[in-house]
Amino acid sequence: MTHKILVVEDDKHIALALTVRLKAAGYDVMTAPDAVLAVSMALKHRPDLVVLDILMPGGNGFLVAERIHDLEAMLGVPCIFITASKRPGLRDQARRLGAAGFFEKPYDAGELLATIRETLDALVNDGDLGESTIPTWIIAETADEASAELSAQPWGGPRIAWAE
Amino acid sequence: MQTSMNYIPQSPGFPYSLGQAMAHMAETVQFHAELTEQRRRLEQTNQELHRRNAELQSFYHVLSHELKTPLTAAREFVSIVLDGLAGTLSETQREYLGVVKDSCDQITLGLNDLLDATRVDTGKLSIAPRPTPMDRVVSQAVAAIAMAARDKGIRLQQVIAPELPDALIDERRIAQVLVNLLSNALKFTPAGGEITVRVSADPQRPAELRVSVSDTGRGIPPAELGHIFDQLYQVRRDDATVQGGLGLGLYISQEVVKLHGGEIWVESTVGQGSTFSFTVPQYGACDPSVHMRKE
Repeated sequence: MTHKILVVEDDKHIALALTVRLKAAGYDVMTAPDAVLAVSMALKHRPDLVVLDILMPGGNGFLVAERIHDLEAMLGVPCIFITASKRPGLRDQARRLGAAGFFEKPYDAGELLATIRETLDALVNDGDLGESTIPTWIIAETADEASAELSAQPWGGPRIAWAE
Repeated sequence: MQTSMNYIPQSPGFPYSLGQAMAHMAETVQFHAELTEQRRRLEQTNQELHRRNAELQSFYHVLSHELKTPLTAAREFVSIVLDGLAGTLSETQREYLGVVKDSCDQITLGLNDLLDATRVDTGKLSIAPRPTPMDRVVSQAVAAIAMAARDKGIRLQQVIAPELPDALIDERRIAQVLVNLLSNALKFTPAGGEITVRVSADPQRPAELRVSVSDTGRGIPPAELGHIFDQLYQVRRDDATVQGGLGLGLYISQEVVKLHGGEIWVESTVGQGSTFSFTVPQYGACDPSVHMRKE
């Protein structure tokens, strides 16, 4: 089975570079240049994994991930974030959203492909794609507890939340 | 802005007339009015400086984003070609493209250093310490420069004391410090030399681990030792030219170590080599009075 990956990236050159890499690795790839198209393409194509830029016009990658996860058919679909920004807190924000990976640009293509492969392998091992038994939410009292719960998961996919 | 008051009203002393008392009161009122005005101006200046600081931070973030995006595309397409995804390459083509890729990596490091230096200047550099085995951090840092060391003909070794406790560190930041020290050592050590990374517990400082990077390079003249951690300071070569780099690596490293509650220092003998050492807290033995600014 060929996995489908949605790349959400506003820079057309980086989107093309990711497409070349992912296609060469045997994946079906579709790209969306902004937040609005990303959600409609996710709904239409139901990708197995989403690679997202964070800073984009029309809504950042975190919002896109939330909107995609709000689609019933896309519950628990793993997201991997890539960003050129060094703003503090982005990595933690991605972790809180249950990201399967977080990469700073320029990213290491080998590490990115390895993370994608491991994440998709974990999904396949967990059950049929699209009917994952992985919990969508982890409820914890504190951020540390939530992080511990998350790291105990076989993959970084579920969204997490904790009581303030 | 001038902030000094060059006149403070003096009491006329006893006994004094009603006129003297009123004159003194008028002077005092005027003095307080001037003081209040100066305080207002200082607060305004302070707010303005904070605003400019925030603007500068924001500018550097935008600059970084705008430069890194095309840099990522350039580096990634070079990598795609190097990986053979666009056809077969000759050895010469491979070598030249390798230079392009390395140059992209150098620009990235420079950009990251510039951003970090801005964070140091504005007090916004932060760390997220977690229990971490130091051997893992050392291995990662050594691996990062292993190829460059081999190309230059320099022996690279690590000596890690057995059964060390974990360190309480921000792994990425301490790895950054180590890579900085190792890169400097590599820069100033001639072919055939040696670079050694050591991690040990210090009996004199039981709550800490000591990490050191020693080289057999040309050493640092005593006159330069006192400035080595200054921002933008660059050690000069024998021909008085600078070796390259932005002069930010040691400045940032010093701040990262300080944020961990540790110390960093250098010992050097001209003609024999240098040893840069720093300390990090042991996990479970950290002094609670040490304030760490966390992310």
